Amino acid sequence: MDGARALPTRRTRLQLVSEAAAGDSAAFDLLVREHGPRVFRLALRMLGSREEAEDIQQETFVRAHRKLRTFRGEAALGTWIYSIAAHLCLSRKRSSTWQREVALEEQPSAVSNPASDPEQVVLARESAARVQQALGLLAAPDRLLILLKYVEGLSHGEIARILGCSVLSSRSRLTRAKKLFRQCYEEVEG
Amino acid sequence: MASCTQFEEALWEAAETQQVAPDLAEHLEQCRPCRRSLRSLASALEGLAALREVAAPDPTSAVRLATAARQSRGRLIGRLAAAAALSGAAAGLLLLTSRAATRSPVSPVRPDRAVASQGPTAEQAQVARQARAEERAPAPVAAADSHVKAARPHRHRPTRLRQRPAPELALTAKLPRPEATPQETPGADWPAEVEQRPQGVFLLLGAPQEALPSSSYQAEVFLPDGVRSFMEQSIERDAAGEPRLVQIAYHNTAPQPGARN
Repeated sequence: MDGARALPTRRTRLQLVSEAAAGDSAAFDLLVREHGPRVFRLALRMLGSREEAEDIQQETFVRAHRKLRTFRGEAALGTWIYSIAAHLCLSRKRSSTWQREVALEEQPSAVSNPASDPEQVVLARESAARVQQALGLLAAPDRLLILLKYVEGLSHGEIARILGCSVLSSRSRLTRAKKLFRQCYEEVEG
Repeated sequence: MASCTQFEEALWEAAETQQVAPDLAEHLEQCRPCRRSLRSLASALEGLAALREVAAPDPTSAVRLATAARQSRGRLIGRLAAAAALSGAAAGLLLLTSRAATRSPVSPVRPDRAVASQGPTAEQAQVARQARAEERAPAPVAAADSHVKAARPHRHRPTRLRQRPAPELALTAKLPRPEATPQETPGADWPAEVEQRPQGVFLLLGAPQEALPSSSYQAEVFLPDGVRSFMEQSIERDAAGEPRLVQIAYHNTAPQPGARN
């Protein structure tokens, strides 16, 4: 295994995908290393549990590995992998008995930058905890939209690709989700 | 004053960009809840940004293991499916062979076509019903001479003959029918169940002799439950043809568990 291989640039990504699809495990490892943390983060924020997030991460890449030959390169590889992860998260939420339970198991370990002002760190941590709490009050599809837009920083086009809908539909759904999120956040803030 | 709901998107944009549009600024000067919402949104966006910081585990080894496990499981499932298909084919072939071997030309139990079209369960149910009905009904008499069967007062034990029909009756010789005598006549002395005896294999030992003035023959009867019945009958007649001495001797072996004739 070529553990020291550098993360791919845009130019080499398609080549990397074709190598991974051809069975090159080192190439696939690179893809996992590049996209794995973001998939884990999305799953963690969606499900609120590290164990479940790790499950989703594994399952996402197992599926990606199986379907890598079908990847046509029309979308970014990250978007394609995100769409697998997003659907797995939604499916996991649907299969679980609770739908809108507040996900407090995983408190954000955010803002651990030692250079930051300790007071700001505390404030940001409290803010992140409230956000996580507010997200837990949202339905899973709305939570996914907020996370994709404001945590993962994806564009409307990318979100539309992940959700499998038009950009217009994605925009209108996001507007609704934002309104609900604001209400939930204000409710949590008291 | 414009409605607060019109500024929902503008509030988000202002919180994201930290730049307030003129019409929103005008509205905020007059609307305290919207000012509070803007502060709340700015805080929420900070919190959302803070959610990006996650200590993610290195997924490569776990994913590699999971991928390998999935692949090996897929291969295992493929091998199991192939083995199951082979076993099914072999079992089907065996079943066809055994059914062809045990099929009776005398009383084949076959479901109706209408029943067969209703599926295998209806077909099996009809076969079972027919088998039970035939077990209750008197068994058909084998195509042997009636005096041979009537000559032995064998107490019949119920058997599952119809489900395992015996092969066709094999006669090695055909006997001339002797005239009926009081000793031979079935009726008052011989129970009716003698006539209901299931078919067996009648193997005649020795050539038949002249019917007149005397006759004698031996027979060995194979019954379905493994019983072998040895029988010898002789009739001596006088010159006028009247029976002078009738001797009937028979011996049954014990049933053989699991044996089938």
